[in-house]
Amino acid sequence: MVNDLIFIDANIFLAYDNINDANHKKGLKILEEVEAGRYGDYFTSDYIFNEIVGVTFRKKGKERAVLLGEQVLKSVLVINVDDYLVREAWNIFSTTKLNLNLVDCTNLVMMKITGADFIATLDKEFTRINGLEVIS
Amino acid sequence: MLSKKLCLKFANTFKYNKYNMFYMGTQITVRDVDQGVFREFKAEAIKHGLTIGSALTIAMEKFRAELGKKKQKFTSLKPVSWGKGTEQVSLQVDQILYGE
Repeated sequence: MVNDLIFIDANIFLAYDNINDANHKKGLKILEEVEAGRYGDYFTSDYIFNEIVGVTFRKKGKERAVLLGEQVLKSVLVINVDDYLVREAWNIFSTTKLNLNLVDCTNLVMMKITGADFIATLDKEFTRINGLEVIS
Repeated sequence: MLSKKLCLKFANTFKYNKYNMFYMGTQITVRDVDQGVFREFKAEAIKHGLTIGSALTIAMEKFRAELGKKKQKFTSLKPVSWGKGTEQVSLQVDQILYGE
């Protein structure tokens, strides 16, 4: 039997960390379900890690960015985007009619390769992709 | 240590067995391997002078070690207030980072 896998997008971590965020409760609920194992093992990518730290740094400051980054590294499997993934993501990015940026496309390639069916994200564009189960 | 000649003899003897006795390693068939990933993996293995089998063993051990790590819960970090004007940040990641 193959375990389920879920990819976690940056916006979920950011929504969780900021109690002022309109999606804070949603982020909390999703992460609690993820940690309870509802969707199997969970992971993210180093590109997403960079987004989490980058946004936190800009909006809350370095101290929180470091704290949040360390927490992600200690608690979530972070998979590196390598040359192959970038090239595959580039193929999607350059041909898709969907409003996805290159990082979004690396998420899709990573999910395809790992066989992940679920993605936790607040980005509605992912709901337009067949075969993905979006948790939001 | 077995001599090369004896090893070859063993390899031939167990040719149709489940286990490859020559290398003492298990032979496996793997389905659903992504072609592109495998092509790159094979190229890397060759570049480093490794057989596919030994490179795969290293990769599997690393994978197991990574997944087996006792992870703490992300939610053990207490969320904080990011202040006024940050209510939509979770929906503005691209805008904040890339100006989209």
